[in-house]
Amino acid sequence: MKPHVSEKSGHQLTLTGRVSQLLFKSNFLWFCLAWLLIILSWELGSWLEWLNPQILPPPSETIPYAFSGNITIGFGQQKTGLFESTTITLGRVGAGMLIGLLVSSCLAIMVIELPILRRLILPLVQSLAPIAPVAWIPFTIVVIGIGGPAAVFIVFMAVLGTMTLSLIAALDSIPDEYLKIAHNLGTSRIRMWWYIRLPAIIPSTMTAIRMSFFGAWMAVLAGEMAGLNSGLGYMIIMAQQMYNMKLVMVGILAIGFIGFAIDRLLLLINARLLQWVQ
Amino acid sequence: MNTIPSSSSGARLEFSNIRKSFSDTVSVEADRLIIEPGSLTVLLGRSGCGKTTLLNLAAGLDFPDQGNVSYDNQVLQGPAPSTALIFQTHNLFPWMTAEENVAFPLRNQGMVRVEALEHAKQYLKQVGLESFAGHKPSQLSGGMRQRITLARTIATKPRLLLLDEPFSALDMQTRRMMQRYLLRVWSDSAATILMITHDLHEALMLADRIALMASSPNGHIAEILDIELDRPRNPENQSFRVIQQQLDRFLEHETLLAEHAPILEATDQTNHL
Ligand SMILES: Nc1ncnc2c1ncn2[C@@H]1O[C@H](COP(=O)(O)OP(=O)(O)O)[C@@H](O)[C@H]1O
Ligand SMILES: [Mg+2]
Repeated sequence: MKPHVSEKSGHQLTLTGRVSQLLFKSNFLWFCLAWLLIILSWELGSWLEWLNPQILPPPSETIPYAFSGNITIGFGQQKTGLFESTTITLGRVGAGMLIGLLVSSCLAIMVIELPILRRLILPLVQSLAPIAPVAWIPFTIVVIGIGGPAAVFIVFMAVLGTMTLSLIAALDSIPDEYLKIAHNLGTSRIRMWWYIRLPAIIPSTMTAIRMSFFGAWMAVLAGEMAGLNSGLGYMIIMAQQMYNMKLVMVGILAIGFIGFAIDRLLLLINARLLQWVQ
Repeated sequence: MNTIPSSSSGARLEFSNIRKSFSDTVSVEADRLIIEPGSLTVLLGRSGCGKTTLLNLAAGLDFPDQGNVSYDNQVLQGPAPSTALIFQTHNLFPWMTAEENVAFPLRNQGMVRVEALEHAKQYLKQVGLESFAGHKPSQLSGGMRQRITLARTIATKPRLLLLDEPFSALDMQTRRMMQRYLLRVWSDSAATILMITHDLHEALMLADRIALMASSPNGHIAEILDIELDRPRNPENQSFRVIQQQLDRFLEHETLLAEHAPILEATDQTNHL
């Protein structure tokens, strides 16, 4: 009797229901508990003076500081805030990934439509893909500079190779039957891309986007720490130079939480799209 | 409304002196096979004997190394015109609902969406699935999916139907039902049908003619049989059973030839070691 009941309730839950169950009933609680433990031992460590509060300010100072709403650092032109820095970094990642997705889509379409180009493009992207995203930072700073476009370029280079390769792999693994049948049903080239290939590759493309987000997120932060003149990474470096350790901590936590939140968001979109294409 | 009349006659197919090689050891041949307009021909043989290869040639999706396939006396040089393909699986696009799948070829022809969906519902009705119009293929059984595929096939008003083991993944009852649906589509449309199966019973239930394929030394058509049994076919019938036994013996022999030879070789090798 029991298994039957639980199976039934599993079937009746909607997607959002299942996601919230996953998030709140089990994982979310453990998530909070784990962080609570860390924060408590940190606080205890500072209180017992095992940790130097000058270097590792305790949560009782850091957390109120993080939510004080007006965190800024630097003077004059260099002045920047947590919110502003985060927005700048996110904008760079978004723009770089969007351009990366567009360019890699064009490359993938060319490779599929013109088999000769496969021989030209594939070796190039195959040699691009293994280059660690951070390796582009020195090159970019010299060639493009230390502003926003340089950051976008780093993100773009970080995702271009892997994104193109995943798109081509996804297109190559579409079951032959779909293409034969679509062709047989008189599908034009454009409709073939839009109504057959695109929906067929959505699941693996979403996974590829999630994967390359991590690379992009890390590359842009590293770039900002290594010389770019704004953004979250820059803020952390500046805080470190001005010995504002509270802000360094807040910055690190912000990186973690935003990365985590965006990954979850992509996962949610992924689940939605999967439901649509299956 | 519809430019192609539904009574348009079936296509005529002719294979002559076909040879298609895949490697030094594997090739498929068909010396001469004529498929008359409006007939239902079955390619019967064990797997690997070249049935799908011949079907691809007929569809104009692949081309022979020697010889040619003609469609209404014209040598095929590209995808065969007004031809419908049905495979064992993956016939429906999983991201489209049943009605969107059926409407898809109509939309390809430029019909507006609302009208195409309206037509699609009519075609779904013909296979008894109008109430599943909004369902995704993943929500339907294998038999229902193949019926929707048939509905879409009717919608395109083909002159030639090429079916590659379309019912092999279905259970026996569903398969029988699908065979009846196919026969109904055939008699309603007057299309020519070329169908692959490895199921002897299915071949005898459907075919006007059976092209028996054998796989050694190369895949080739070993024999062409006209099946002159009355329709609807009755498996209990004496003449049905006689033909069935004959063909069964042929297939048995063919299996022995194809499968025991390599095993004997393999045993030889282990003896040498
Ligand atoms: N694209 C291909 N490349 C290499 N060999 C192939 C290809 N297509 C078919 N063959 C070979 O040709 C033979 C006939 O295949 P096929 O026509 O698919 O047989 P069937 O449909 O009767 O099972 C098999 O031995 C198969 O391995
Ligand atoms: Mg086959």
